[in-house]
Amino acid sequence: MASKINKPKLIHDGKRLDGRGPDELREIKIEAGILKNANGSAYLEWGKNRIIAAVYGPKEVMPKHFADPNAAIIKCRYSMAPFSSLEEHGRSGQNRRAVEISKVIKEVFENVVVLNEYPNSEIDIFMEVLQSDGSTRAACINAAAVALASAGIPMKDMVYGVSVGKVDGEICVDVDMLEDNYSDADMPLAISHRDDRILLLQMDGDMSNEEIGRGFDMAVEAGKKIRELQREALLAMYKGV
Amino acid sequence: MKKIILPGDALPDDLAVAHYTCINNGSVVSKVVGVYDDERKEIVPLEGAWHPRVGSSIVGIIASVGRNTCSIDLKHSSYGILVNDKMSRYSPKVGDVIESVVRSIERKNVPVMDRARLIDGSSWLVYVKPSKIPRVLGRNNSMLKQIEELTQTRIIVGLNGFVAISGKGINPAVASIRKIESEAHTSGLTDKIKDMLLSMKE
Repeated sequence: MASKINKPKLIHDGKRLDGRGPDELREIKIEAGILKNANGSAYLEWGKNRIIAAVYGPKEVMPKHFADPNAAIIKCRYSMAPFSSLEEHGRSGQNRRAVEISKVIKEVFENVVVLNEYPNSEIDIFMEVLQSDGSTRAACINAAAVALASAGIPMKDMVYGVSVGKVDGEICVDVDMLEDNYSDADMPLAISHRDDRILLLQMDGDMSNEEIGRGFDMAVEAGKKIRELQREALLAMYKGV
Repeated sequence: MKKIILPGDALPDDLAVAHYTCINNGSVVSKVVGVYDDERKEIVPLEGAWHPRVGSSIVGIIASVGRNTCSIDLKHSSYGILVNDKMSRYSPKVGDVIESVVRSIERKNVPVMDRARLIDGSSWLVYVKPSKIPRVLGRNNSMLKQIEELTQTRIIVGLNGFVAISGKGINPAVASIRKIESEAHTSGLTDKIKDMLLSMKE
């Protein structure tokens, strides 16, 4: 977290530094099926974030002793390109943060993918952050969900990710890098489309119960737009039915 | 009417027993991206891996040969097992392309075959996404027969995705299969392929 000494004022007259209101998302663009060699893939632009997700499988588990005879296993790799951010990232492979994010994203998808259809096999999800500008784990979840659906992996439901933060004492949705660095708290969420089930909730900083509740409501409201964009991206693959 | 459905999309309750659906929070939902036909009450998936079933014809490549069994690469999550047929003259070798029929499915979703026929070495082997194979075959194999007739080829289709093509017009046959794969979700494909092959002949 950045130093609070030189903390800039992040909200002026109710507007954030990039001109958004507290409940507004950055511009999002999703494209599905962009990689020929993957079973499923997606490219996502979310503000200045640029993310590619690819899905391979179901395929043979390697190493074999990881195999579950009753269900498929999911392997997830979140990775930031060395040129993705202002600071150094990814120069010497995965760091602690990437391992943690890979783990929590894997657990999100274990809740929605119908794993028992493919016993003894694995499904690989790769997420590469080409350019980062805050809320990359939420952005990766959105890209990976589209990539999984485009790979034909059976899922009970679709998932979207969105982050909520407390910026200058105000609850804001979709925090960018600057807001994230100087925020009082930030809370990435992953939520299922149909029944608004929370599949991921992490929090850094302090928020009251009331603020968390308000943040969740704002995330669900903002999620309606993300849901539509995910659907549009998948439907665009099959124009002309 | 046909419409595209995505994972989690609600479907009528009488589809509860259909493939590609599941029950989520008390309602029947789709598990896959597919086309739902509400008149015929069926879902055709647009993407997805092959599910081995007894009786499915397959085309595979022999990956290893053992004393009594061979492993077959089917581009599936696990290798298939071919039980060596002692009565057959054919002795399998690594790299051979064979066609066979799934006789049983083992507990770990491993397809087991007991008889195989060697596919001619001059054949071309192409891989098509298994979800697109039904369009390559067409209704009552109409598409397949049409391509074979117009290109003077013999095409062996494995439901696992491998397609072996032999004969005169291999290139147009491959081109038509690739076109079917990319436009599998559209209607009127048989006529489109016919036009394409006729224009290639001229």
